[in-house]
Amino acid sequence: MERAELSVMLVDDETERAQLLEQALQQHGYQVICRLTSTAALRHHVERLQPDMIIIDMDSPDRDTLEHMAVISQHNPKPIVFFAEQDQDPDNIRLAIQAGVSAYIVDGLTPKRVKPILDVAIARFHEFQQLRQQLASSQTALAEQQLLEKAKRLLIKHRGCTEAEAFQTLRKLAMDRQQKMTEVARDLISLMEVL
Amino acid sequence: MTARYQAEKTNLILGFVPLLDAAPLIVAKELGYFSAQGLTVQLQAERSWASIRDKVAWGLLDGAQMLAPLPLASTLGLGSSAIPMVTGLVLSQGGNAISLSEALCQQLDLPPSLTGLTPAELGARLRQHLQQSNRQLTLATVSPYSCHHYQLHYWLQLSGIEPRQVNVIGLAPADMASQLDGGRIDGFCVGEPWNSLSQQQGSSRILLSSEQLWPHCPEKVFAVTADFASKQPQTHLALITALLQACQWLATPEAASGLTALLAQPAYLPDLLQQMPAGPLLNPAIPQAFFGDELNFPWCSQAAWLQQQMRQLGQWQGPIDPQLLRQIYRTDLYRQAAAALQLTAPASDWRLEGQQAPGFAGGEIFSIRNNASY
Repeated sequence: MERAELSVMLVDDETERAQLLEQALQQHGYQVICRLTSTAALRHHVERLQPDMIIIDMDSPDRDTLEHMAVISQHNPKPIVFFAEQDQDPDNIRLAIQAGVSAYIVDGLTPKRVKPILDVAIARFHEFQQLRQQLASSQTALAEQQLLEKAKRLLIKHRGCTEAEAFQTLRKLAMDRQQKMTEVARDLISLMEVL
Repeated sequence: MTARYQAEKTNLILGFVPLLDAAPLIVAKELGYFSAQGLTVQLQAERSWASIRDKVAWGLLDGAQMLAPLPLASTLGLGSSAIPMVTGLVLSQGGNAISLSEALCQQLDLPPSLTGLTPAELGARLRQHLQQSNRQLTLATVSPYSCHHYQLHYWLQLSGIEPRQVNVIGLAPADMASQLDGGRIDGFCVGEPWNSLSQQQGSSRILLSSEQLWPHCPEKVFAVTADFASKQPQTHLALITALLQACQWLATPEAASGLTALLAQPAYLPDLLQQMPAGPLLNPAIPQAFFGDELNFPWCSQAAWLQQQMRQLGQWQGPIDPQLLRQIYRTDLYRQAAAALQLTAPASDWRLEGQQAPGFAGGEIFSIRNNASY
């Protein structure tokens, strides 16, 4: 008989992502029994808590530890297996791997019970990836804006022109040199700061 | 004399694990052997062998440095879904060692120099200690489908140490020293530079090298999926050729002086090299080689030997199938790449393993005829 509620262990160095996933799993009625960052004592935690499922960052150095535990041996009364061994739908596996999710489950759990948890993990990992990218691109945009502003100020100061003229100068230079305005601005700043 | 292949795919991402034997990939990129073949290669560091296997299997990496048994394990579906993989090139030989904690070494009362002591003699001391103290040892390796893992078990068996006396667990190499210091493990079998680093820190002592156990065993190979190899055959050959050239360079005097600087670049293994003891990069106590007619050749007989280890440890219950091994360890591809570089290659895919001196530490001769099931 399978227990009604599966217990899940999360192993992730990205604490925010792990929190996001923990909340989401709890909302879906799953019990997260332990949340860990990379740990040399992972094996000990797994043996002590005996989770039904372990969700671990694809890039965690601790994955080889779990691979060892997955090798059937007399020391492991409850062998765990890499989820792909059971879930034979290649699309699911590819989705998980692209999102950076890997999972180990207790032998004998049916794919039907594992899939909803995996789906939540994949969705949260994706969401986190997008948040990261948005943050990175908004930071880049801000930095680029600041570069342009600084180049304009320097032009106004050195050439006594208006802001509109400074902007036109930058735009013309960018078009002539077939470069981005931020690149022209960067060159200008390094030049004018020497003057 | 660079070979000209009509590469089907020229932008590639290859994976490696930051170890000294990632050298052929790094050299092929940094010295321009990939670009001479018209390939633009990005090297991506990975933190576990499981990750290397999965990313190659599902196309996130085009190819990678792999543990020699891993293409076979993946093809057989050991520990993951069965994804057929192939290798046409052995990248390195040796470089592994078995280290025991300083505390355990003191209990074993080892002489200051271990030179001249055979693996069996060293193992006998450990066996006696275990019998007297009636304790269980915990030893670590990295991947269960690695030569480290098989070599450790081979040595324990050679030493007459019973499986119940030793618990073999998996650990990331970076965690080994701290686990030794904390007394949670008694030793390990890993690749360089981890044995030298741990010894330098005073945590452990190098007991014996893989060269003393299995002198002719492939350690790392270059692997791709069988799908990649069949859809991009020219690209695959171009990669093998460039990597073989890199291996060739690694045997030259320039490599002895120039390799450290290449590996120390930020994208590769700078942190590890900073901690390394002064002196030669490759520890002479742990022989490691990258080039040789017979060394780079993916012997089917070596693959059979590895599959035999999988059987002995209960990882694989089926037969050793020579036809299957031939599809994974692609001697034909090696021969083409070697010919392009005007290098010779062995004519046969099989040899009697253990016959070339020095042989296996246990003295056995391994023949596919006696072990294959057709």
